[in-house]
Amino acid sequence: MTIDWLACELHTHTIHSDATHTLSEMAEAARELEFDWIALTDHNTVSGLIGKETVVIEQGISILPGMEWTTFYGHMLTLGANVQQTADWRLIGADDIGKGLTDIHESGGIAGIAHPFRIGSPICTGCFWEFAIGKWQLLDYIEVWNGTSPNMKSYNRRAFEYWTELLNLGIRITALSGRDWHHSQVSGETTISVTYLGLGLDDRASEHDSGGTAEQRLLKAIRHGAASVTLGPLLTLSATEQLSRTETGQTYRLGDTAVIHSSNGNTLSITIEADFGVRKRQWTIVQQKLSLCLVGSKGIVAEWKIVAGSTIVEACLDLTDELWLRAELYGSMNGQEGLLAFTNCIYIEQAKTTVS
Amino acid sequence: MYKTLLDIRSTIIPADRHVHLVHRFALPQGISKLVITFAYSPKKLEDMTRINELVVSAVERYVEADSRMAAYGNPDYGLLHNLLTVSLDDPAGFRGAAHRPSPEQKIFLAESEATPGFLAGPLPSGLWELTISLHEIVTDTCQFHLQVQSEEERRAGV
Ligand SMILES: [Zn+2]
Ligand SMILES: [Zn+2]
Repeated sequence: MTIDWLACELHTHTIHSDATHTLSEMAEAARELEFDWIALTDHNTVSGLIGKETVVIEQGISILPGMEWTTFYGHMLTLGANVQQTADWRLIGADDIGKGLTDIHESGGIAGIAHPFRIGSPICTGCFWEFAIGKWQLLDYIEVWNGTSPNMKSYNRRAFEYWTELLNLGIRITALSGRDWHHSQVSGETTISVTYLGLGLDDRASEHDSGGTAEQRLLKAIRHGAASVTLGPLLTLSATEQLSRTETGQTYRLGDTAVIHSSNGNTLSITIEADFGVRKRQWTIVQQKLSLCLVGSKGIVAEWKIVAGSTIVEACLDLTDELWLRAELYGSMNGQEGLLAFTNCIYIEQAKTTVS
Repeated sequence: MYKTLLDIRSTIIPADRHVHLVHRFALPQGISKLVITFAYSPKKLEDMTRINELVVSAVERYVEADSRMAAYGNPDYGLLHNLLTVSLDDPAGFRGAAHRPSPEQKIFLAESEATPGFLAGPLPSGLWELTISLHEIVTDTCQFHLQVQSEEERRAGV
């Protein structure tokens, strides 16, 4: 039972909107950064995707079609083929985002809020999310890390906190990152985030991943929450049912819902893995004590001090009343102290007491 | 030979922001190239007093209290611009958009080539729509000039 974690950059622009690089130039830079996939999300157009197949072959990287709805009331990323055909941002008013989301889903795409708390008009037109959201279930994700050095931006910290508040309200929504890539030049001081999307390699691997094209499987992974966001090491979290001292049951992974049968004395054994071997040439974390946390709806559940190297921690913990769990890694990178990586959630449900 | 299909000059004001101006025009048969010339002015707000007012109100509206001091001092925030974008639809649907800051744009579409942002392909006759989306107007007034011209197919031997 293995998961293939694909390194993705999910928010990019080209000369087809307001960026300076072509798709081919960006794809080459992305391949050098060891990404497996990039999503092209130009502002309000899809013309940059013409010739995509050639770029995929020449640059050896996969490209997901998308668009950034760059509206008066917010920026929204759409991912998936032909979204432009049936969904039109110009016809969607400040109170109609539900209609827009339905149109996007009908065309086979998914959608997420881009940089929800970036300063708005007139400094950055439409950048702050002001659409009224009727049904959160219609939104597939929220971009909580936007831009380079995303953990240092106050609008991203606010988005991350907002995501936590939504989770605590019982709203299950995926959190992703996006560089909002506009030019290919890289400077040494900035850190670049990666969203890893998990695809199951066999059909038992994951409850959500049941075939389809690579593109459809990526969209499903996002919707499900099989996603981990990082500036460097890949963090993953799993939870295994502990039926007795020696007997284990089902294993739950990112995005899954774990049901705890506490009346039977069952608990969950939690495993967090920090893989420091991924995209190794692209980032450095100098030797230091890092803080690896298991966080839940009630706050920090457990904390481990780890050295900067691949680590696996395991624990059986009291998870009474938790609604969700995620892993977070804190430390310093390029002289900047903060959140370095976080996983999406395993959602927790307490089984109803069974009368024996 | 270019034929002018529409040529419109208009003045807009801040109250017009967030309006889509849809220009529906008829494209005749046998057109091989469509050229859109679009310009607006001014681009930049120069009035320092007005800039300060707008920055203060945006920071108060969008930034949390503990991050406001840093936001007021952000030099990028003082650069306030008008933003008008054009998008185009043929009788069957979307043909492209130019979501970029330049206040002077020349856009063309033809069978095999088009300006980045737009989809090359046949130019079917019928009702087309050229939309100007008024994302931001920070100056007291702003003038735009929109022109759409078509070029007929050259026939052999003519
Ligand atoms: Zn945006
Ligand atoms: Zn963007």
